[in-house]
Amino acid sequence: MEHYESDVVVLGSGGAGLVASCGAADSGLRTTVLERSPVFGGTTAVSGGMLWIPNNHLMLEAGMEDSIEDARTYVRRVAGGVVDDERIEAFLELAPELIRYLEKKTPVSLQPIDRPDYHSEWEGARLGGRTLDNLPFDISGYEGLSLKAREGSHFPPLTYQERHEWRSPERFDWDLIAGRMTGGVRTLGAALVAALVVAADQRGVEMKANVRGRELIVENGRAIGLRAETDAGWAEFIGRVGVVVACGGFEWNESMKATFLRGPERNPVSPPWNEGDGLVMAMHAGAALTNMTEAWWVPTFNVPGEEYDGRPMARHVIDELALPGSILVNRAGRRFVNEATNYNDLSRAFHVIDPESCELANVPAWLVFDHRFKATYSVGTVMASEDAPEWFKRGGSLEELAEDAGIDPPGLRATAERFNAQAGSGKDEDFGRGEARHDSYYGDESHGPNACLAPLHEPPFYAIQIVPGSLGTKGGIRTDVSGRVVGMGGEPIPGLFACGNVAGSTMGIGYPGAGGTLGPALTDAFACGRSLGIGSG
Amino acid sequence: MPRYTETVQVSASRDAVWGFVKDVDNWAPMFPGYQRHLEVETDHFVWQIRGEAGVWSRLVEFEVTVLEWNDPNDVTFRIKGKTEPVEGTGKFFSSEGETPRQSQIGFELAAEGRGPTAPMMNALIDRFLTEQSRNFLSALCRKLESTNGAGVTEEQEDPLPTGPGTIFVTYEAPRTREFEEWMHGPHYDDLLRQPGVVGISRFERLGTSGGMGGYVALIQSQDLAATLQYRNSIGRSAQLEADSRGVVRGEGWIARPVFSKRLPWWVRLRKRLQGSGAPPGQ
Repeated sequence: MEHYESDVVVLGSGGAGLVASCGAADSGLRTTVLERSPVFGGTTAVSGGMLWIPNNHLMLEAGMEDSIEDARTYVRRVAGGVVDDERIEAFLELAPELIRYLEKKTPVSLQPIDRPDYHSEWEGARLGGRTLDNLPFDISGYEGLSLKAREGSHFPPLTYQERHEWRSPERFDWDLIAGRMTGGVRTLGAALVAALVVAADQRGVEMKANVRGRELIVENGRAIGLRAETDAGWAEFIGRVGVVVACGGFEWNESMKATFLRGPERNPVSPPWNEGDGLVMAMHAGAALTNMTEAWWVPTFNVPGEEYDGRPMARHVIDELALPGSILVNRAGRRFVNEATNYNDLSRAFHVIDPESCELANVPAWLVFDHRFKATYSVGTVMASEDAPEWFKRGGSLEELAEDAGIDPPGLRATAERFNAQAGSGKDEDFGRGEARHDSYYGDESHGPNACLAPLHEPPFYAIQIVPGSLGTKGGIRTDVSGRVVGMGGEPIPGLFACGNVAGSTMGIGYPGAGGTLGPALTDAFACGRSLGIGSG
Repeated sequence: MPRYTETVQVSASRDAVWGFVKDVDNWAPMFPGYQRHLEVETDHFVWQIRGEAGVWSRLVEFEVTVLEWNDPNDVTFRIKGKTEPVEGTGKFFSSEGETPRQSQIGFELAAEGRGPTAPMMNALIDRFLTEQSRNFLSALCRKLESTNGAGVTEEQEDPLPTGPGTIFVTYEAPRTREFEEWMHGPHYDDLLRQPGVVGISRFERLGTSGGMGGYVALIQSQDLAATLQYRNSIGRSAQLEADSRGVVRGEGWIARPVFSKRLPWWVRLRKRLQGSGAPPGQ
């Protein structure tokens, strides 16, 4: 068996693993990052890459006000009572420091944007500034980086802010996009991981791909390394000071999903390597678990024939649910949620089980819209100016569409009539769509009286199937505020750390705003890096 | 408009080449990402291709219409995306080679995006057109040479070795910074893009001096047949450029892996420590 030694072994190369490795290396620790897939970047690379960090200095410098008190009030409610105050407090204190660190010590470059918190009407929420968007990152100056850092999947190379300002692909600057593609410029999560891979390289962190961690090596109760499968067979990687487990959630492990999650997760948006390896390793070592029922829920759809990393690719749907002229219905043809609410909490409606039939009441679901909507807004990958593709269900009437999609025709007709009447008055009496600032941000603010409501009456009518998915799971290994893994007895397991989606999130059951996954995850990783440095001293 | 054009020589007669090319079913599966094709009517096809951009891929459909068969010289065709806003034209042509059992074949493909996304589509096409067309032409040459067209049995050369292996190349080259920068930059970038190639190492022979150095290059391939075929056809231009930059006395060998063994890590460590004079155990 091959044998490698360093001070710290980090399993996983997403944003969390990379930040932890940089932190460890900053303390002079020889650090090795192991990645199961052929490229580095993990789930972060295919994400929006934004960081949700309350009270960060960039927002304050841009004149966007915040306070730790308001953030505390807001995060406590978001977390849903399942996260202790000490952990929330640690996040609020350390997170702004993480941003200063990234700005000063790494090539990561962030800007605050005016994207509202996901519960914009709750006490302590902010209408912008807490979400930090990545500026474009040019990889062409770094030899080999284009092959080393995972490419994103979902977006053209635009920042989130550019995307939002230009809104429709018809208004995108396609020359700019082409220039970025040709020049090797990355944005969103792909920019974040590329910059962090550079930061790790600059610190001398050794990075090994195609290494799948399988078993922690524990001696006298202390984690001292791990055994892994490599291209050349089994290998041992020893971390004298510590082992950081940061290898993603379990959203690609059907058995674990069925066992733990509170609802159906059928379409992960992440790369298909997150099978809960790190979680299983930590469980064998006696780690306690937390928040295991939860995921970063998202409604998704699939374009037939699209694949990412050789598996069917899930696309996250947001804007189409908020723009005026669409509705989300179940097979009975009934609306069941405010379509414009944040995607995480919208997805809770997919978990409802009908007590009579014992079936999921709102799965499958259909996004239904009319010709005006189709000709005005992009839907999925289809621009307004393009013909509807074959994979859109369609009908000359709502009843025909319902027949084609497998929806109850009278139910859909009744729903559309009620919705159309309310849309005319600008008030959704059933679910309050468009009332929160969050909703209208994703709606069409040039449309009145409600940016999220318009009747569906122009044939043909269309529908696309919406599938419950996730950005990743967010329950897992229980850690303390230093990132140390807590054992079943409540005491830390010496030498063992965890961060990212493999660990229980500080956000508990909720999702505070865009970047609510990565902001807390990278803060936890920052804590891990510091703890390792202190521990080695 | 992004365009690819390339002409190569194959060891197959012109008649055999044309006989092979006339039947689309013979060569369609060689196109990178090919899924299926359907002949809607005479000389009018719908092709389905899996288009790949890094780790992302998508099924795309094109209408392909043959504009003219000009036996046995060329065939021209037009393509139009059904699922993507792309249009273009292509041409396959052949001519007599230096001997009756040789011929020249050429392939041209030009395509461009339409509509608002055209700049991005063109950037994508630019990125992949040459690579995909080269892979196609290389596969076509390999097939033609291995079967001499439509399976006509003629005197065959030895079949190319298959599976993984290493190509050893020894040569002498100028010891100049300009040459090194070209060799380690664009030349090796090009080599790494060749079919089958997964790695390259370059060594300088010790004991040589003067303006010319002696070198050994090890080109690792996971598919020797693909790599050699390419190097013997399209890839020959890279070797010719190396020659034009002063490379002389080039010779090559092909080797396949037979046996490999590494000492255990602790033995290697002990040897290293002994070698450095440090006492064992430290």
